[in-house]
Amino acid sequence: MRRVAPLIAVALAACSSSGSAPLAGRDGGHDATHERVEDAARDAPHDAGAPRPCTVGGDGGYVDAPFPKLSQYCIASIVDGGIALGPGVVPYDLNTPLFSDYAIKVRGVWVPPGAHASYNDASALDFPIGTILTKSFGFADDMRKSSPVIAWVETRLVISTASGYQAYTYIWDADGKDATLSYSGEVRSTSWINADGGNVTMNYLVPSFVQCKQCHNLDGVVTPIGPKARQLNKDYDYPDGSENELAHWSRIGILEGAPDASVAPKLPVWNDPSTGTLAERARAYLEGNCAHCHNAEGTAFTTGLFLLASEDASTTYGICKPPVAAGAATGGRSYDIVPGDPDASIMTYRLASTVPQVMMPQIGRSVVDVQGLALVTAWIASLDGGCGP
Amino acid sequence: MRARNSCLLTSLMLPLLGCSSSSSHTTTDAGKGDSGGTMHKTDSGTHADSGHARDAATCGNPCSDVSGTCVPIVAGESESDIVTAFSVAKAGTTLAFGAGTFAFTNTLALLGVPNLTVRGAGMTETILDFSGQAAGSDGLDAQDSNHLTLWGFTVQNPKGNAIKVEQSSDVVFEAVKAAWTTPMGMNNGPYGIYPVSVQNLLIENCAVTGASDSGVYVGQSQNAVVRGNDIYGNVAGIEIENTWGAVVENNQSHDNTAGILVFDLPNLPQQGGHDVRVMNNQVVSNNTLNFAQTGDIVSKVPAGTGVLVMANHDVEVAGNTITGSNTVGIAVVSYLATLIPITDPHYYPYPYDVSLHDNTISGSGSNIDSSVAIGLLLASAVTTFPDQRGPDLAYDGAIDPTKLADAGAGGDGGVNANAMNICFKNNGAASTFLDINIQKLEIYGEGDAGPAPADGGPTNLPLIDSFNIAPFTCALPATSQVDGGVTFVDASPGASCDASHP
Repeated sequence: MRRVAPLIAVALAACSSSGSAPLAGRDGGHDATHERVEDAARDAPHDAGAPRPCTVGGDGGYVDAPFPKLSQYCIASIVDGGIALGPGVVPYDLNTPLFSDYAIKVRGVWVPPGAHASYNDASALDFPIGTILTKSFGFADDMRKSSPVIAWVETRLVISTASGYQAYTYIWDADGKDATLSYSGEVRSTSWINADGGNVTMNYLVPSFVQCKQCHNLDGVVTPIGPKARQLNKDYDYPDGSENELAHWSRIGILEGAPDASVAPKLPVWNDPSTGTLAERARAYLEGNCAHCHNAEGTAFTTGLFLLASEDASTTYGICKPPVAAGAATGGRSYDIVPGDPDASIMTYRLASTVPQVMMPQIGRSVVDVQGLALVTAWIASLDGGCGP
Repeated sequence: MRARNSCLLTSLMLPLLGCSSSSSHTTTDAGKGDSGGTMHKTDSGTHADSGHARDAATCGNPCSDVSGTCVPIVAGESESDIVTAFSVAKAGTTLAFGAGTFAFTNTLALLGVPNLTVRGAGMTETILDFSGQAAGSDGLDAQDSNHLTLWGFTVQNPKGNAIKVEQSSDVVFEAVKAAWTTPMGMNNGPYGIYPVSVQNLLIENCAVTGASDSGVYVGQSQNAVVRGNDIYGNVAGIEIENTWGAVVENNQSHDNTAGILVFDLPNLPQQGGHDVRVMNNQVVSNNTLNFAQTGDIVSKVPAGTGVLVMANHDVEVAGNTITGSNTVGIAVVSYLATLIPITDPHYYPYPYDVSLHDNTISGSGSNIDSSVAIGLLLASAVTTFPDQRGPDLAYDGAIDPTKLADAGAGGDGGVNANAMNICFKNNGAASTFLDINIQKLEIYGEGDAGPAPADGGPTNLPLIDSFNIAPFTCALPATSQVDGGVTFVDASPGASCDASHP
């Protein structure tokens, strides 16, 4: 896919030394041209000689309790308007990520030296104690710009501890020098200019501590969502060249047991037709955006609607499934998915809504993912059938 | 605990202290079981030193007579501070609201921490107001919150459900209210008090009004007691759905679209609702126009329904007073009555072993709601009914085809009409009865007990089979008692907000 100009040209990371570069990317390819511009700054020059005042993980106390300030982790900082990951923090992205209000996201993983994650085919990789997964969220001032000014809002962490994973978010201080642990989250009015030049104002939700756990809940246990083999089985442009993420993680020793990428499962890229059929990409999209709750162990399990890409296309997947507890959120429609008729399907109604009690996902977006909705709509329209009366 | 945590803790907790109290409570580490890390300890010294003056207009420190860890939340506290307190609460904590109205823009949530109590100063004194909600959907949401007690407050005008508790055990709702202030608002949230996938449950002395689906909705739960509540102005008053073991007793369910529903629905993780007792309730004038959205299952329920039992087994409905139900007093139906095709091979759509006895039923059927399918069926035939009104008692007559085969009937003539053991007894000598025999509807095929492919709805109305209750006059053994497994324990006697309280 086409690369755009680096958002950040020069890195001066306070916490970085070799191997660390500021990163900024628009997550999920939601720009007007549907091109993924993620990681645009990945080949920014390395910072060569900056002092190294911090060590990733700090004094290690974060495995007992979260640090009050993000800087204590040395995991991510803002440098020249971009997110700079700390030394040894490995950037990554996903085949089909969660839509988050067109936020730019920068992800990284740090595994304590000498430790490694364990591979499995189906669920999130098993990360060793001390691992920090980080994801920073920011908004470009103008999505038409190749080098927009990015307002970084929050940096989230998932930490592997002896008592399981913990999920926290840190809200960036006004001066951008540090971010502060927030349990309450925040509803933040955010404005930007979209790819069509229109002004967008939205109530971006920085999730509360409990809302973090609601999405990361798997049978009562906080669990990473993104870093699954099928999401990581993709190439990434590392500073020293492009490499498959699973292969890279294996090669540098933070992942053990992974098969060759060619035989590992792989989720299509939702907006790249070369990676899958319409149905496959729609299923990838629904997995990336819905299945963290809508699975048999997730927060939405009582709905009986399960949207992992591996589910059969049956009632459980929403095909002619009557709603259970949606109330007014049905929009007057009778089934989740009516094959061939997206306008009669509750799924499209809820994806197209920004009303809190109607919209899906319930947490994580406040504007409509126009391109994602178009994909799901096209897929439902392509199905044969109908649901009877 | 690290020093830095103490500092953070102080900054977190101080804003919540609106009152000084030497009786703020001490805790040591409240133990494992929460997933919030180890930094969150309330500390009596910190509390006592905060020194905020108490607002004389409030009822004092909401924690003043709570034993154990307690976080006081008094009027004027910010949403951010309240959410933080909920987030960091450790096992065993009481989150105690004082009197007043507390405005929220986002869901107030709990997850993964056992033995919490959220309490207010009383359902009229403490209002959690979600009128300005911009994020989240539910008002109060608790998940994986075992041994949870919710007591003495109102949740008002959330966009979605008012109080949802899911995947938890030993949950008590005591004297809480869920209210939408727009009467019959289609965009009111669906459920008022909404436990789903809860084991051991008590809902007692609560009130709900305005829900666009069900006031009290117990879904996919086990061992539930719903007792002494006042439920009005909702679509369904009380709904027990896909639940194993429930008693609904001594409630007032009035001025809803339907009073009490006992449902089982397909395509859900827990199915086969059974052992449900509906006892000694006052079910009065549930004639409110159905304001649920199309597609919602309760939108299929005609206004004027007193008690409706669908696709459950081992159900007892007894001792209830059911008054002024404009469509029907008590009805027992299969899922076929919804006219929704069944695609779930594991779902059993027929009710069986249902005992309805010793109910007092009056004033039924004076104005049948024909806006939904089953009501249209009744209304179209009403002129043939005794007294030309809707029945006190009705059964859709759907029979499991395998039981038809057992009877060797092969058609209408020799069918044991009561093969499913639906028993009516002592419901008043003058009560009227109707066997709809829904399987004779064209949609299901004449004589075909299974749902045939849908062809656009019932077109051969009316096909009412019988007004003769004799085949259904029978008795079944009493259903098993349901105890809920939990009781409300007032851990802070005298804590209600009254002027005499210091």
